Amino acid sequence: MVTEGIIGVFATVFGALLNFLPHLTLPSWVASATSSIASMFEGAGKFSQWVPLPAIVGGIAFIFVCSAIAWSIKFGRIAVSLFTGGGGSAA
Amino acid sequence: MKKIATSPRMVRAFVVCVAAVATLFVMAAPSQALAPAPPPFTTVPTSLAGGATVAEAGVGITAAGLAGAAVAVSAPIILAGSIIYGLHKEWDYFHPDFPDDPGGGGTVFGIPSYLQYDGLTFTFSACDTFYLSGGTCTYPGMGATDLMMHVEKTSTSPENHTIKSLLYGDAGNLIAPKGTYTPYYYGVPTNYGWQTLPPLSSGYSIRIHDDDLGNDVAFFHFTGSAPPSTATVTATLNCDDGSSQTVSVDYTAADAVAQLIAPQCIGSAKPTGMHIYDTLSADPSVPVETWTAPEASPYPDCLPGGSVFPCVVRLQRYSAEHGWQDCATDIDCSEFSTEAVTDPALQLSTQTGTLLGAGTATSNTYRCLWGPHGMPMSDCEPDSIPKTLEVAAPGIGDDSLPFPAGAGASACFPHGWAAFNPAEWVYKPVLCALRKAFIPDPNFVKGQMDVITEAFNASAIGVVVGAVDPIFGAVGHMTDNPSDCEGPEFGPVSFPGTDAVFDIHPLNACADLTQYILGIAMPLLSAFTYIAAFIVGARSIASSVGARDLVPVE
Repeated sequence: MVTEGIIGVFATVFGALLNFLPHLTLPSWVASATSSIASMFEGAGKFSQWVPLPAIVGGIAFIFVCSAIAWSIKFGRIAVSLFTGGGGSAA
Repeated sequence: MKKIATSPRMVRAFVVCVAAVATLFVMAAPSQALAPAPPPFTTVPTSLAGGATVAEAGVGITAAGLAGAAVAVSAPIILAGSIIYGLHKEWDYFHPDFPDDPGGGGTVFGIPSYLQYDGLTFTFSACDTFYLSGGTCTYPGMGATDLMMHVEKTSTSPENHTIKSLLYGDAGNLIAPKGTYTPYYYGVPTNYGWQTLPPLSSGYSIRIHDDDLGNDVAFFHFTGSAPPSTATVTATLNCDDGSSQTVSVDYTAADAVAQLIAPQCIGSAKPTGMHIYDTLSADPSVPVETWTAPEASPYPDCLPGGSVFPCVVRLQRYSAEHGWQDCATDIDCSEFSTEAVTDPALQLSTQTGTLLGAGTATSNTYRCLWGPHGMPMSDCEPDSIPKTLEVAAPGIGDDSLPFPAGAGASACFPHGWAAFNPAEWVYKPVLCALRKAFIPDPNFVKGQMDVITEAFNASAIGVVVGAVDPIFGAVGHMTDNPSDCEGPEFGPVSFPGTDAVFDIHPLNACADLTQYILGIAMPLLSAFTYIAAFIVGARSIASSVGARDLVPVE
């Protein structure tokens, strides 16, 4: 009951916040574009016998994660450096 | 020469990188624990899911969704609008096979093969007599939004035509559509691709011009009409007592499917067949789905229209204290195996699910039921049949929680010899109270998640995520499913002086030698890729903490 109440409150608030977001109808060309891009990746999949696609995709994902972490650290250091007595230059 | 050297800064950055990745995994762990949803009960036993018995199990018409209590009839046509199209013959030369009909007729011209709207394909089969004689052919339900026309040559007929233009627009005001049109030649199937034609206020006109013939080949005219606001799906169930039961439901364009509750025969009457009609079908008087009940079925009550339809497959375990209990719902059956119940004395009646042999049900006795009927144990073997409490009700049966497993009031109070232990009269009720207070009902959680999911999908973020979802799907498919060894296809190509046409696979890797070489090269390439990715990633993190020379290059 307690947990359900908490979940219910959070779900209500979160659902209300989502309902506040603008509703969007994408133009038809978006579907065509995503379909074309998806077709491009499907076409690239045909080269999987010659190209290590899983490693490439995994590597790119790893680089993205590391880059996100790096930027987070950098912005954190910049934020901390704004306060006297803490942090250093992140430039 | 450049070389990679280690340094304290590199070690420091490596540790930071590993710690960051480990943190991500730890953050992701709780969501993984909550993620698995209980799989749905299998509706039809696997022993019936094949051949003629499929219809017996009521899934012969799953296209109409009759496997569930709520019959889901896919809305066949989007109710966004309606277009009436007609085909006008402008020139004397008009081949009877034009336009090609994928469902029949000729494949001489292949232009246009068919029209597609919102993923639905509309052939010209209903207009066979029309386009030879002129007149008007109606397809209800086509919306006046985007009309896509697939222009494709599908045969290697000796007809030598070059389609040079395709025009569309309001009648009398034709304009060129976007895209260019490659001529098609004898012996070379050419796909002209999809052309998206924007909506026009008063419909469409499409004219196809053939340079070789010097005239328009055909002229289509589409005019808009008021869209129907609702459509109706009707299910008529015939019973062996001569009666029939009919259930109808209206649905609109906003409904993904029309939810129709299956009708049932009254009393002891048995269903003999069912017809489903859709007012949006080409001929509303013709059923879109027809199901005929088998004449002699041992499971008539599980058939559509039966008294216990729909039946689900359930695994049950016997205990002396509680009798038969549903696995995963009332009791944990994770140790179930078909080998444990092969004792002939424990075989079950297929009619009642009761023991046929002289055996006595013990705590290790299982039975597999479909509705009230006993089924072979192999039907309950698939993982889709819930067996563990954790799967059926996430959280409640978690062994890490000190709550009594097994539902029911008896689990909250001591019984047997434990009743003489005063501590048990505190321990168990308190645990039950805590469980009631803090362990949420999975159905409640699922309901809340459904509300949030629905709100998310309707929001702009959800719409965008849904739009790009095919891309992620394609990427996943690209990495999960290595293509066949033939590689990409190019062509068709023809050799001078011959009529032969080939599709070529220049990157074919099917040869044993090629496979052997790739078997060695691919792991090396993968390792190189991972190392390169690690260096780049580690450097980016190193730069963020001031260690700019994580991997010094000298």
